[in-house]
Amino acid sequence: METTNTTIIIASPPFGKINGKEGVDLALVCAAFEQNVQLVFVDEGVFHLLTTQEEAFFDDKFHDAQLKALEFYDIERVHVEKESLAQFGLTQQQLIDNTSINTRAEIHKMVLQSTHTVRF
Amino acid sequence: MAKFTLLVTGSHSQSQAHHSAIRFIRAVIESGNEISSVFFYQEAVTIANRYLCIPQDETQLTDQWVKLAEAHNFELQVCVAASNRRGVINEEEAKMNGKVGDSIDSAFAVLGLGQLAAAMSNSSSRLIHFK
Repeated sequence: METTNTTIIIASPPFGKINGKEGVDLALVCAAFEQNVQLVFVDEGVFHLLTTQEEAFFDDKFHDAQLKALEFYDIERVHVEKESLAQFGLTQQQLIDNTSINTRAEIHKMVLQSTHTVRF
Repeated sequence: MAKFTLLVTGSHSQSQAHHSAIRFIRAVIESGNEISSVFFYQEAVTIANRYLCIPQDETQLTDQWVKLAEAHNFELQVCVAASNRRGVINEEEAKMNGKVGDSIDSAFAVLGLGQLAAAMSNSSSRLIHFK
């Protein structure tokens, strides 16, 4: 069977909205169905990847523990848009391990090569 | 003939997602193509709440969905995790969570996200997202 290439783009911030969590949920389930999943963080979505996020500042369960489970689903790295990081003055050193920094043009190419793209 | 799987995530009350999706489905069918299934996720799942009381002079979206699905033989699927979180539950989920009574319109099927993933794995169907 042909492999399905699925790109999930997370553009929503980790706090205030549930979009990011529900988007990552879909990425994990697609990966469990043996799709080739590209998980991409852009815009305010990049804040999901900061290592300094803490539940103590949030008063709820911090969803992003699920990002640590990605490798168990064969999603080996997550993609982060270079321009979005720059927009917020962030660097790769502030992010969780195994991130790949990609330009907007590279992400655009990724989307063009995907069977499906869903943006959250 | 093309086949389409629809993913609807927009709220029925705060977005145009449902109206646009319904118009899209009519256009798909009129042009001789086919709808495989419609999957409701995120805020869109509240469309399946059978206690919705929309003023009578406004569009009855739930009725429109149900009529379209019956006429053109596709399933209306709601994500179980997303709908439980938003109080749209079937009898089984109500019992499991110690609640009295269900709240889901029986025209909707409660399924896991895997149902959507399986539809996406089927490359003969294109995924269209309404948010």
